[in-house]
Amino acid sequence: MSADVALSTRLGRAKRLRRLAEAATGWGLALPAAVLMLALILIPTASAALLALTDYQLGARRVSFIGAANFVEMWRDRVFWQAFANTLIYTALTVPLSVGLGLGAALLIEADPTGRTAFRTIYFLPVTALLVAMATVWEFILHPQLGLVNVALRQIGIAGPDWLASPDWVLASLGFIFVWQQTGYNMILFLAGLKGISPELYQAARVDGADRGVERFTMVTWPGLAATTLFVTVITTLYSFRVFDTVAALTQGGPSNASNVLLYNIYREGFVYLRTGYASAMTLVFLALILMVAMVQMRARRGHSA
Amino acid sequence: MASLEIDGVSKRYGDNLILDGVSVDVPDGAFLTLVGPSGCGKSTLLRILAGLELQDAGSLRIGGHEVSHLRPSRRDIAMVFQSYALYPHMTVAQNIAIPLILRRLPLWQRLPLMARLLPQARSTLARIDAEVQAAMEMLGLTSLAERRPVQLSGGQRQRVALGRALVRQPAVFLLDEPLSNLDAKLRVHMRSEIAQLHGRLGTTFVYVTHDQIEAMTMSTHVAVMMEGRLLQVATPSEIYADPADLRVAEFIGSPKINVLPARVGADGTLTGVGLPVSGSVAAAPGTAVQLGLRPEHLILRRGGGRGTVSAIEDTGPERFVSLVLDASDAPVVARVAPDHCAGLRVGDDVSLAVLPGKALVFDHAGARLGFDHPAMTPGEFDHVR
Ligand SMILES: Nc1ncnc2c1ncn2[C@@H]1O[C@H](COP(=O)(O)OP(=O)(O)O)[C@@H](O)[C@H]1O
Ligand SMILES: [Mg+2]
Repeated sequence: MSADVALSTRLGRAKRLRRLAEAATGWGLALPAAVLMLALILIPTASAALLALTDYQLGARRVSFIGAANFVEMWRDRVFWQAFANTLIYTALTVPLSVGLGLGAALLIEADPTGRTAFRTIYFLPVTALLVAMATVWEFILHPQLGLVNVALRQIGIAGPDWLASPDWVLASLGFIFVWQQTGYNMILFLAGLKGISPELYQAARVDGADRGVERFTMVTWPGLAATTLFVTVITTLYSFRVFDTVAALTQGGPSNASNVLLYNIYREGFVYLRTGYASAMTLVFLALILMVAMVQMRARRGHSA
Repeated sequence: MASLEIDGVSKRYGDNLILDGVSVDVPDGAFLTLVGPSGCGKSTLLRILAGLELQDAGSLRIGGHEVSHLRPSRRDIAMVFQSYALYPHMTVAQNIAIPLILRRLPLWQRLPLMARLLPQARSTLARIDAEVQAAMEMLGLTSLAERRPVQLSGGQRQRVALGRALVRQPAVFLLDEPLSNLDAKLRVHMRSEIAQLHGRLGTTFVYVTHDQIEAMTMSTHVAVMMEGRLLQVATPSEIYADPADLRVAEFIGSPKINVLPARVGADGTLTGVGLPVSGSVAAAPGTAVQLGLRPEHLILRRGGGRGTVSAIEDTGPERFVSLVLDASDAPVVARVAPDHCAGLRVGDDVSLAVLPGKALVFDHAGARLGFDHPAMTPGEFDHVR
């Protein structure tokens, strides 16, 4: 009897030890990733959260805790709201276009194998280009007098606007550059998604009576791309929210804030006006927005796989 | 329901001739099995029949009508694919209903709201629903109607694919290796289910497989295909007993038919085999031929010094004895009753004879040669046995 008890406690201890060892191994394996996450994500975020509650200015000697004052200021800041609205407009403009065009290009390339590689390369080329460098090229293309676009428009009797200096056109012009770059990226993702659809499904659809391409698209292609489309839309939305380089290189948010967007506004408050505390508060709001988009994706994904 | 005539169908992919003048006719209600090794062009022929692929030459008639110029949906055929090809986002019932919906409802009436608003669309949908229910009942799918394909087992998916095919009552069923993704036990079960379905529907079936057992057990007609040609089309028993080509004889039957080199003697008898084979070949003396002997047509006896046992396999109901003939060094397998030659061991000395009239003779290229054998009296038969 007592021997049994002794044995079972010894077994229990052995088991506990083993579980401890397993846990240690687990933590050990997770350590590098955890350290990186801490250093690159959590600590900066926490610092931003702390700074957001202060009036800290870059290089200042003194810093004081001011509670939610930065957020109250943000609430009343017209420039912030304009940047917010511009970002939403820019996103609403570019996401449907670059997702739709990416899908269209992928379908066209899949439909006709001739020159597939060439087209794939051509469409993908913009993705590999450094946007800041390409911005110079775009500046020239969109030049009011000498630019390719307006020269072409003049040929057919239209006087094109100064694309990057007109408050009405500047967001659309920047959006166009984004679409130009993002479409190729989305196309590659859609091509991968299309590869995952069994050719037998298309054959089955034809035998079942789906004679028209649009019928096969709705029965096979579109449902087969559901996960890809969700992913592409979320990725594109996030990229679109994060627009910065074209704004910084081409318009600096102008004319009169017409192309000021959230990230550029943060940059300007933080690094031009040196208002680090205020910029941190805006960064938190920006982060919340990004998290919301990611959560929409996660929610949709779970619903999709269930 | 319809007869099927395939006439001189050829197909090329680039430089490769995949189908080389394939011709076969089967009557209404036949179960035609295309059997052959992987890559011989079976699926290509089936896809051409379905209209998913266009042949380079030759014609196809279903029920006497040329169909080569028709698209798949107009050919009155239904197809079951190897991967089942069920629409993953649709339920079982929706998958089965699709061919009817596509045929009976114009595109705009399929929009979700339209079906509810238009009385005419509603009544069409109600009729479709009744037919889908009947098909599901026939296949035992009623309780699974609302499931999606991912929630089904392989056998259930297979049945849904069959349901989608039969709900339309097509003239010809095309099935491309429908059982190859199932486990062995289910395969045997579905084999008889499909055969029964054929019996009940009485429709013409064209069934593609690389499995000779499926071909032999289910079909009324077996077409053996190799390298893009049909070697023989016949009933299963003819294919087995009376193969037109050595490749047919080698493909059908397990264990494989024994092939021994031989030469035609002066009076047409076979020489150089290493065992007695009575009969005369319709070929010039001196011709090299190949002798095909099915394992169950060999009579094995102890002693006699014709060969040596190299392996013995007991499967339960029967015993396979592998031996090497002294005369030709050729390996031979004999299929005997499990209690035959009890105590036989590897290395034992045995003799071998051929059941009269069962030897098959082929020329060097594999074409079957005529082989006359003397009529046997019952007495003689006892003697050999
Ligand atoms: N679309 C195609 N393009 C090029 N070659 C093909 C195509 N489809 C099939 N083939 C070739 O044709 C041959 C026969 O294929 P298939 O009919 O699928 O054989 P089986 O069904 O008898 O295994 C194979 O060698 C295959 O590689
Ligand atoms: Mg095949």
